[in-house]
Amino acid sequence: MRRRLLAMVPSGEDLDVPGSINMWLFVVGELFIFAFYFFVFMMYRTHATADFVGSQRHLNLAVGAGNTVILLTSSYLVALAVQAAREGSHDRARRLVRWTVALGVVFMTIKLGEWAYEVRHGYTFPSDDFFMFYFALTGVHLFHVLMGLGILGLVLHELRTPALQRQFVVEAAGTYWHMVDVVWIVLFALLYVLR
Amino acid sequence: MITNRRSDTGRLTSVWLALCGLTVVSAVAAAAFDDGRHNVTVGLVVLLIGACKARLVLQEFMELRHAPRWLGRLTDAWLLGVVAFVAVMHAYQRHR
Repeated sequence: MRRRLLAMVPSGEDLDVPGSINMWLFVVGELFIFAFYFFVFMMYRTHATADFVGSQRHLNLAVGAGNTVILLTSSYLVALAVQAAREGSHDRARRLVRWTVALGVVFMTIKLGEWAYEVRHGYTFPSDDFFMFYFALTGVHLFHVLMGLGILGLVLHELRTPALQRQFVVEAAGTYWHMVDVVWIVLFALLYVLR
Repeated sequence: MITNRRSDTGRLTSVWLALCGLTVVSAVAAAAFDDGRHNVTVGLVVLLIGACKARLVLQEFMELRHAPRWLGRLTDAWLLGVVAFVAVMHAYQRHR
């Protein structure tokens, strides 16, 4: 039994992941925490489906889809940056990470604008359960976007400094940024398009 | 350590285009069939599209297709768990 359990623990080559195993453990942990939020959201939605669908219609679907495309594009650019860093093209990697940061800022600006629009029209955190979840879930996600931008800032510093330019740092930052993207993909489905 | 392959950039671009296309399709499907009521079929379709998008990001952008199998299985289990739970809860609501 003990041997069987030990065989399940990754070691050696099994730990050869893109970036760093620590970042992967953190990212997988974050994914499971978000999964818990999704479960709670669905539990509440099950008990008040009509109210949730009614409130959901006040969100602007086009804005949500546009913001999703912006975040997907930023993920694509950071994936290209990882490739450039591997090939030793650090200037190109830096340019790509800068564009990623710019798109991350655009995503945040649009999200804050969307919040302001909803609040102006009377849809606030205590309005109803849907908007309570909307502000809470997008708020937690926005905090992760902000953390991602901080991490990408560190990557820009790495890529600017010839003595650093460590490949695993760029890969680990990319892993985190993609996790932010995966979470948003689920949030977009739950909050904007699930009827 | 993962190294680049010649076709990787083209593959990433194809994945990005597919992700954007799937986003537009799910938004159009949600808008086209929106009658203000709960719709199980549309919900399951957009949920499936979301699952495909999430797996594409995990496998292609996060490079899990090159990573150790245990990590791919763990993230697949996460995705399957989330999608299955949401799908069951979404379908269940129709019969209440």
